[in-house]
This record gives sequence, C-alpha cells and structure tokens, in this order.
Amino acid sequence: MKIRHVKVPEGINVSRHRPLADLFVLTAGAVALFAFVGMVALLIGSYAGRYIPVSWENAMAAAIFETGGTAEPQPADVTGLRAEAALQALADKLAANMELPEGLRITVHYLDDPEINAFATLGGHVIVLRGLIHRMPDENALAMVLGHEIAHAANRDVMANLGGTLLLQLALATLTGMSPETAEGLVWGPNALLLRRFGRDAERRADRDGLAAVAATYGHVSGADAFFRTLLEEMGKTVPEEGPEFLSTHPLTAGRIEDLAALATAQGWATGGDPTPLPEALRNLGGGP
Amino acid sequence: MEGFAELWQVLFVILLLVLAFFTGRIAERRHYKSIFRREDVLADIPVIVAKTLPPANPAPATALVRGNVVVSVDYFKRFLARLRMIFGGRIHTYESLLDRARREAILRMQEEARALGASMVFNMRFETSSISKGRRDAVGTVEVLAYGTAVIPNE
Amino acid sequence: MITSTLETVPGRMIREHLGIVQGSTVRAKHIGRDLMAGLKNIVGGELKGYTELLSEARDEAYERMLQQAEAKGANAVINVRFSTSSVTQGASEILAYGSAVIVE
Repeated sequence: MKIRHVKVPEGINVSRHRPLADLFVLTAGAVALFAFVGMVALLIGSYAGRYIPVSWENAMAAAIFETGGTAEPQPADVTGLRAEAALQALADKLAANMELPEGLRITVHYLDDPEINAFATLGGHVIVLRGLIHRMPDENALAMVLGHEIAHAANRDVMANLGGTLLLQLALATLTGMSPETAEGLVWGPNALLLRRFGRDAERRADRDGLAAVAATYGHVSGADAFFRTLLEEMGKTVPEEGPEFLSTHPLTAGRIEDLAALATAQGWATGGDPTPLPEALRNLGGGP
Repeated sequence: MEGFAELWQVLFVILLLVLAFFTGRIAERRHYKSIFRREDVLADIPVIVAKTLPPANPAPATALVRGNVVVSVDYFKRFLARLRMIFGGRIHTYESLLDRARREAILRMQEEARALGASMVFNMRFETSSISKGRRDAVGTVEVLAYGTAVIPNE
Repeated sequence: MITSTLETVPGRMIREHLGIVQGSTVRAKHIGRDLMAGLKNIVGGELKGYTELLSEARDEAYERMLQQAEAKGANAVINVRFSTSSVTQGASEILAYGSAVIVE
C-alpha cells in the first residue's frame, strides 16, 4: 500500500469574500430592518396611547400624584399658594378657549425652583417653575407657555409618548434578545432618532395650539414669543446650548419663533396690542436659587 | 448637548473596527504563511484517517500524538459575524478561523510525531469546541484538537 | 467519487493513500428561525427550520470534502466522519473529514 502526500489547493474551505462590501451591506440592512420595526412600533404605540380613555389616564395620574403627596409639588408658603392660585386662574381662562377632551381637567402646580422650565404630565397636571415666571415680562408671554403645555395635555401627547416608547422598547427588546450583542447599538441608535422626531412634531403642534389659545383669549398675539426669546438669550448661560435639530427633543428655538410668526400671519391674528400685566401674585417672585 | 454621547459611542466602535480590520488581516496572513511553510516541511509525515496499518515486520512502535490550538478572531470579523447572524447564512469570517485552527492542530500533532521519529500518523480524529460558550458576547474563540496514533518504524 | 464510513471499500483494494481531506462550513440561523424556535419550545416537536439549516450545512461541508478529494486525484474517501460544533451561540460549524484513497 503506497502512501503519498498531495497538497490540497487553497480556497475550498475558505471562500473568497469581500469583507468591506459585506460590512456595508449588512449594516445597512440591519439598520433598515430595525428602524422599520421601530417605526411601526412607535406609530402603533402612539396611536393606541391617544385612544386610552381619559378616565384611565386620570386614574394613573392619581396613583402617582395623590399618594401621600410626595410627588405633587406643594407650595410651602403663602406666596407659593397665591402664585399657584393665580396660575390656575390663568390656565382656566385659556382652557375655556381650547378644545379639551371630555373628562380632562387642567390642574396647575407651582414649583419653587430657579430653572426656566414648565411641563405637562399625566392627567392634565401642568407644572410651572419659578425661574420661568420670573423671566416673563407680561401675562401674554406666560399665557403662551401655559397654552403650550395645556395643548400637550389636550392632544394626549403624554399618553402617546408613553404608549409609543413602551411599545418601542418592547419591540426592540425582543429584537435585541434574538440578535447578538453588537446589534444593540444598531437597534437603538436609529430608533432613538425616530423617537426624537415624533417628539418634535408634538412640540410644533403644541406651539400652534398654544398660540391659537392666546389669540382667542387676548385678541392679539403680541409678546407671545417672549419665552423663546428668553431661551435664546440664556443659551450658553443658564440654559445649555442647542445641538443639531435631528438629535434634539424640541425643534430649534429660532425656528419656533419663526413658525409662530408665520402662523400668526397666516391666521390673520393681530401682532400688535397692549400687553396684559402679570397678576399681582406672580410678580417679584425672584429668579435666584 | 443631547445625543452627542451616542455619536461618540458610534465613532468609537468605528475606530475599533478600522483598527481591528488591519491588525486582524496582518495576524491572519502571518499565521497562514507559517502554516504553509510548516506544511511543506512536514509533508513527509502523512496523516491518515484510517485504522488499518499497512502490514510490517517487525511491528512498529506506536504512540498517541496530539496537537491542539485555541484561535480567536479580531473585532472586525466578530462584528461582521454578528451582523451576519441577524440574517443567517454562511459566516465567511469564521471559515478562515476554523481552517487555520484545524491545520495548526494537525501541524502540531505532526511536529510531536516528528519528535518521536514517527513516519506517519494513523487514525486521526478531530475535536472542535467553542471557548466561553454560553456568554452571548463571547464570540469567535475556538479550540481544535487533533489526535492520532503515530507509527514509529523499527529501524 | 466513492465514499464510505468503513475502513475499506468492500470488494476493492486500496492502492494508495493520499492523506486527509476535510470540508467545513459555518452557518448561522437568522432572527426569523429564532422566533419560530422560541414558539416551538413552548409547543414542542421538530424544529424544522433548524433541521433544514444543519442539513444544508452538512451537505455543503460534504461537498467541500469531496472537492478536496478530487483535487488530490483520489477516487474514494474512506472513514468519513461528521462533526458538529457550536462556534458561538447561534452559529454552528459542520466538519466532514476522511481519508482520500485511490482504489482499483
């Protein structure tokens, strides 16, 4: 029996392939797949969120806010209580000119904090911070901010955000559970951008609805954009600089000012008019810590 | 600024990929060069996957010989493989890993046989196992064992 | 090409040994199969998706082994063995190897 050594040619068990082309195609494919799944999840979740009955939303808010009152900002002193009452009166004035869903009540809370901010949460609760009130030159400016937040509640944006992010997280967690680890960055990255985009659209709608409420309440929109102008002034000082819009949860501030002006023109709202001074209880609250 | 942390993460991954792409290619080429060279040198110790020895008088001495190696892939190949695993199909990047590992294991077995003065290795078998299996992100480290019976002629 | 898991090809004499030939392939499942497998894990039964996957991979490995044998000029492969190992979670390597010989 003879034994002979014969060399085997290369390339049978190792096929030639182009790693860079492969990388490009696979990454593009993966990003597209995950973005598609994420988009569908976000759409369905947001849509469903808006259709959850107001009573359920109120129940959820009650569970968070009224248990022992730790989450609900309670003004500590008389000044705070008066400020809160004044804010509530202003909100009620505006809400009368806005379309609120059946069963939704707007409850305003005053928070003694120097930050220039205000936000809307579940169940029609709106929280306004002292820092913001301090920077408002007149009632019209404050009304725009309040109107914007009330619009968020009226448009059920909070519920939409909740439903959307929940379903998105569910879908993406399933995907990442099934696919190997690297893909996690690819799964979440583009979808984080999608989520921001959804948020920006909601912000634009709230801006429009807020301005409409101001126009209906005061008969003009003069001074309504004071809040955004303040933001621009404070950028780089007490307020962080804005990054590029596609990374941001809100549209760029300069853009928002322009959009408001354009809307006023399109709707024929008066841009000149006497500003209404702030209610007594909201003046001189101080902007310091 | 919002979102920039994510951008930096992406950039970091890309940097690693570029680095690994080049270092991985260099490492693989070096290994293959070494494999080709030693295969030529050890070509006179054939490896047979059969049990029946050619008859010889006097009967030759035998010894168990083995060669094993643990080989790993670079980050670029790993990344590519994971992407491939989303869509399924042939994972090209691991083919070379396993090819290298198997040939290296055989070579080491032959070197051990050579050290014993053997003329061939019979009844060779393979064992392949993955190291750190069970962790989801431990990808691409493989141990190959080649073992057989070295035949040492009585001269 | 004659293949056999036996030491010999029955009725034929082995004239020459040409050394080891091996064919291997590394295959991965995709997310879809994973999903089906997950469901099957609840219901039970054959995971047809995986069976197909490994079947195809084995065929390919086998083909590659025969390719090597042809390249060596052999006309038979004896002592064919299959080996499956999991390279990583979700990917398997199938190896087919044997001894290339020339039988008369």
